[in-house]
Amino acid sequence: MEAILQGLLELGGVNAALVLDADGRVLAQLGKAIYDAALFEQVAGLLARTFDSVQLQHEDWELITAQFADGRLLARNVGVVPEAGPCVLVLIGDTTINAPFATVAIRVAVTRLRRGPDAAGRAAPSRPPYAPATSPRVPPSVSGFAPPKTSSSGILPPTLTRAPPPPPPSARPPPPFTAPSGLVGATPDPASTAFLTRCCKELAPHLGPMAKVIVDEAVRALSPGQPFSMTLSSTLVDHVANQIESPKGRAAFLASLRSTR
Amino acid sequence: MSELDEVTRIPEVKTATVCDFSGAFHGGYKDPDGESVAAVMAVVAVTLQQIGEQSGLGDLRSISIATPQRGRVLVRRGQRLLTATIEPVSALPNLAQTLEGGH
Repeated sequence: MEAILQGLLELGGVNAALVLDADGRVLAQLGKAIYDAALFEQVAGLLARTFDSVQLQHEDWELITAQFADGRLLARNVGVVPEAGPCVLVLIGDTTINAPFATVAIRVAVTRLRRGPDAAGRAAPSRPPYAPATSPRVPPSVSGFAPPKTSSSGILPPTLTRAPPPPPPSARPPPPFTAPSGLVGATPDPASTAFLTRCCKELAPHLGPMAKVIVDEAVRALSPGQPFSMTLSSTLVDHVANQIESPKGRAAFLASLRSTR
Repeated sequence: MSELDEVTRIPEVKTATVCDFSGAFHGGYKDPDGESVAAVMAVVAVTLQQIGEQSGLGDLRSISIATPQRGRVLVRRGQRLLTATIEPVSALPNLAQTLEGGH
């Protein structure tokens, strides 16, 4: 679960990400320096009260967005997560958070959370993944803050303090193949590799850094446990295009890929 | 023009309620349960305001709640809260922005 939060935290403007269960317990959390365990606890308690209240008027709520003078909070009702029950995913960011990118990233994270621990990866081997944290609620892997460090991508500021990053996506249950481009599920077939790389490239202007994640997810969904085949290329393009909210952007993406197939 | 007049001119707004942070009901439009909405949304606004203060996010400005069928937006107007249900839900992001900038 922390691996999923790690991906969210790397989005520009995101300062904290956490998953709460139906009782308001923190199941997983990652945050920049200001977000220590005590603050997460306080915020989680208030969030649980917020969700309980919202539920009185909107039992089927899906997304809550709160805009503040200096930041934004996004809460997504995940539904039932295997081994954890009903959960809510929360992102807290500053004013630079890109709402469309964050929304797409949240959708990807929700899909992965719903699939369960096998799909989400195990970033905290010291405790069973998805098990509700017991007192103290903060998972050891997260409460043990690491010294300040700048990520190789340069996305995270030097003040970021948190546990060492979890294993990359390749640490999940063995993918069929990891192409040089890093696309899980690609095959040694140069045509397939080139096609998936082009998909990412064409998708990037619309979805930013989530493009590769979206393509990875689509490949896994379309050919689970098997090498990607070019016979699935049309389906993959349609699947991926649906992640682009703007009709104009979607049309441009489809046109650019169809012109090269 | 009152807050309610302003918001009810928008076609996507189906109901509207004006309240304050204490949950007191100050007026409504087509909402048979305005007092209850006022109480609930005030609690939501107060708790989110507390989250904002504790997390360094500053003052609460607006809240959007999306459900599969409709949305709800709440905007802060000084010490008053203006909340409205929106249909279709796809209009929610734009309307939230519009209403937030409307004071």
